[in-house]
Amino acid sequence: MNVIETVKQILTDCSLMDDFNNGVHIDYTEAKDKDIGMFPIGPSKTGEDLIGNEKYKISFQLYTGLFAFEDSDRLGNSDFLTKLTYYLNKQKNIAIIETVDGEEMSGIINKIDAANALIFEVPTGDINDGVRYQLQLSVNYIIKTNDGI
Amino acid sequence: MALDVLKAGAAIPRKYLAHFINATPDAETASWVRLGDDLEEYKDEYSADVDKKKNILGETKVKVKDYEVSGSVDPYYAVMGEPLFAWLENIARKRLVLDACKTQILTVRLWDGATGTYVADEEEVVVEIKSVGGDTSGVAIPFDIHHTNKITTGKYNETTKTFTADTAASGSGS
Repeated sequence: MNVIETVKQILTDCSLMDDFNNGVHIDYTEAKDKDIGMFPIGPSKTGEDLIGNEKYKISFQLYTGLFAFEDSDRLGNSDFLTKLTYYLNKQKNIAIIETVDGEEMSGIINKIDAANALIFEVPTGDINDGVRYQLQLSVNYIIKTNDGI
Repeated sequence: MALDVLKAGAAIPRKYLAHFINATPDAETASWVRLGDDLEEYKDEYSADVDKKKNILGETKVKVKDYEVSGSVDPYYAVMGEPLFAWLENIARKRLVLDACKTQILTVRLWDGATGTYVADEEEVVVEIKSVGGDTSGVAIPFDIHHTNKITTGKYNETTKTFTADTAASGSGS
């Protein structure tokens, strides 16, 4: 799995996501309760070590629709996003496979930084219809050189 | 992905100059560990002993008399089961000195030689541990490598991970 598929899998595997029956969408969310979409913002190369291993960073915006009419709902939503942030920040040293120049290269996610969980918008303008929260992810990973030397 | 063969005129990427440390200097067979994971820069610093004298003609005679070569591996992060970490940790824990800090460095020119067998220099070096610990990135044991100028030229075989000295081994240095 490449880095995007792996981050999606990390989210899917999280027990906090058990109520999100609709799965994790890519570049898409529906304006309904317990729906989540992951919007990747393409990778950028941040460095290269002496061996030729390439360091990359990719960012994601997560958007989730949640019911938020009552204060208790909003408190519960913030609690969910806080726990999700803690969960994601604990993820490290996860193997990935990236395809470079048609060749599969092994890699590793060495760090995920989750931050900035907050209400992003009220899609219909009526809070009774639910609101959309956002969470920002920054994922650092390395694509290992396969020259075998 | 095998290394691309560089054509004449091509700039040589940094990864083509490879540095290996023998992590088992006391053993019969060397365990060459390539330096470079997490390391974005490594260079052999040549501190030359230069003698300059001005003669009565007003000319300056310059003599390079010696080199004291050293390099710094920083950061170096401890990895479980990695033989170089085991060797460094042993030095650090027991405060080992003198010959216990001796090993060999192998400098391999991956652009030079037949594919799979590259021109290489093996040199005796002394390792100096700089610190143990570091920040929350991981347990770090940065170290300096002091070269002794006892060099053996030869070839490095990437398949067998072995160094073979040239038949007429040539030493250099002062």
